[in-house]
Amino acid sequence: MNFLDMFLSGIASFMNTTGIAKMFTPDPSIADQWFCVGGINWGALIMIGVACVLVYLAIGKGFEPLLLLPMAFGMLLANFPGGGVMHTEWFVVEHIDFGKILHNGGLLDLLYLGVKLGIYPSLIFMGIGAMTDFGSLIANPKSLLLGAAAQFGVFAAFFGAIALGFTPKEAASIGIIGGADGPTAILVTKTLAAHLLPAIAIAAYSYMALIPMIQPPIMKLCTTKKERTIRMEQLRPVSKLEKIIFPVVVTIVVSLIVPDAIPLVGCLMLGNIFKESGVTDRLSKTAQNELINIVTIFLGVTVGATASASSFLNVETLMIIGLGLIAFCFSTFGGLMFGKLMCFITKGKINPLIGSAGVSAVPMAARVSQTVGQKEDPTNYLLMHAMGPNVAGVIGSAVAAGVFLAMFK
Amino acid sequence: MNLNMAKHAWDTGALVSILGLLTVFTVLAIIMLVLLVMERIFAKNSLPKKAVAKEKAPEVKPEVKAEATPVKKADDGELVAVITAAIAASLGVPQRSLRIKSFKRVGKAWNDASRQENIYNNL
Repeated sequence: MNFLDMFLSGIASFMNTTGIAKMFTPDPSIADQWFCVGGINWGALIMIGVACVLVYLAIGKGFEPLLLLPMAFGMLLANFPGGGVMHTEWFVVEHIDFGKILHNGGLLDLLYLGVKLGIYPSLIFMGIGAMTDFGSLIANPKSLLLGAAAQFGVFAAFFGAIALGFTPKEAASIGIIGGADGPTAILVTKTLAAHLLPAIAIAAYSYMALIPMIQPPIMKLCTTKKERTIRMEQLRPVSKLEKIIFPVVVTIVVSLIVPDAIPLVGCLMLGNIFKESGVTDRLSKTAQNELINIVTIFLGVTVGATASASSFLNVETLMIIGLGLIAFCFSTFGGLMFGKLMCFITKGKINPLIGSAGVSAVPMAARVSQTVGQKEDPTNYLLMHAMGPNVAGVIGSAVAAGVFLAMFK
Repeated sequence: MNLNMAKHAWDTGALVSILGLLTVFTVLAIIMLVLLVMERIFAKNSLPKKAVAKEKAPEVKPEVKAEATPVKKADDGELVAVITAAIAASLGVPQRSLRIKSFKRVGKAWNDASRQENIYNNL
């Protein structure tokens, strides 16, 4: 008899520790939120649903799966009540208690330190640098201006966010979505507006995946058929020495003017010089394969895990998603308009379609320029010409990020 | 938030936007200038004959027209082997049953097709 009692109370106390029980008895800290109705934590349920949808988008639709899948799964892991793998609330306070995180933090809390301290975005940039060939940019330096023009959306969305009542810090983090560069957006947001991180990261990566759908209509609207069929001169060959000097020059110029961009641009160029120097093959291979893959897993899972119901299910998230789209559209528009200007100045030597590749999502944006151009003239190859503005866009958005950090940090 | 504050926020927004865009342009324009200088230097170094002939560095780069390279006799053997293998693979017959007597280029269509396929496979 006694044994049976013990057995039953054991089961009862186990039942209370299950996720199901915790779903019905929300934590006091969130019990007054709008998504806790009738003593049920609907927020967690909705977030688990959102996570499953994102898992589907990543696998079924192929939306940036390398990042979206870890992110969606991280979101899934973090939203089971009682799991305690992630405590987002510890990170969004003014002074972070690192001792508490190290002593009591869950698995994802500890991995998230790499985001919070700005380590992962820079390491990812190093990998990107080691994968990027700046040759087409060196061969056609004018494409740097297209990469700058395509940052127009960053500042347009910044202005829009201010107009909607976001604080300048939040607005800067939202604007940087228009840079179409995930690590940059994450670095800016974790510094200026950590509470918006999940929404901004998810918006940035989703829109990058949607570039082939967002850009072509704008590109067709802004250019004439004649402009789209312009053929460009073949690019000159670039010597190895130039490719080695390039990362050094860029690092020096950017660091002198916008020191806040050093973590991003510096690492990008470090990775690039590993690749181009020809004497650090092993380092280059590690940076562009193992290192970037490991860091991508950590970054994706932990950024996804910051998406708790209380930080994600609100009107701000919807506004961020809307502003992100505006940012992307305006960036494309800015690049195209500058492309048209350059086309006019050079008397038709530049195809304006390569301007839209100035949004930095490499190489999707360049591929879109190629595809749209080829629809008008199947024998026109814009890809290598579009790669110039494309990689310039990476530098451009990192500089824009540095500007925001310098102004609002 | 009163109207004054709102106006202030708009001003800040506009100011930061313009300043920011200008900074981005400046930085990238400086890099562009450095690259243009670099291009001049390297163009002179790598093409001394042309640079001496004209005082101004030629604006129009000599267009490389390597499209219509005549097929050399020495490469024919290899080319015939490749063509034989391709026909054999596509017809599904053994290579030894085929003999290539002559071949001639019929236009750029195949070049374009393979180039496109290559681009789409690589990206």
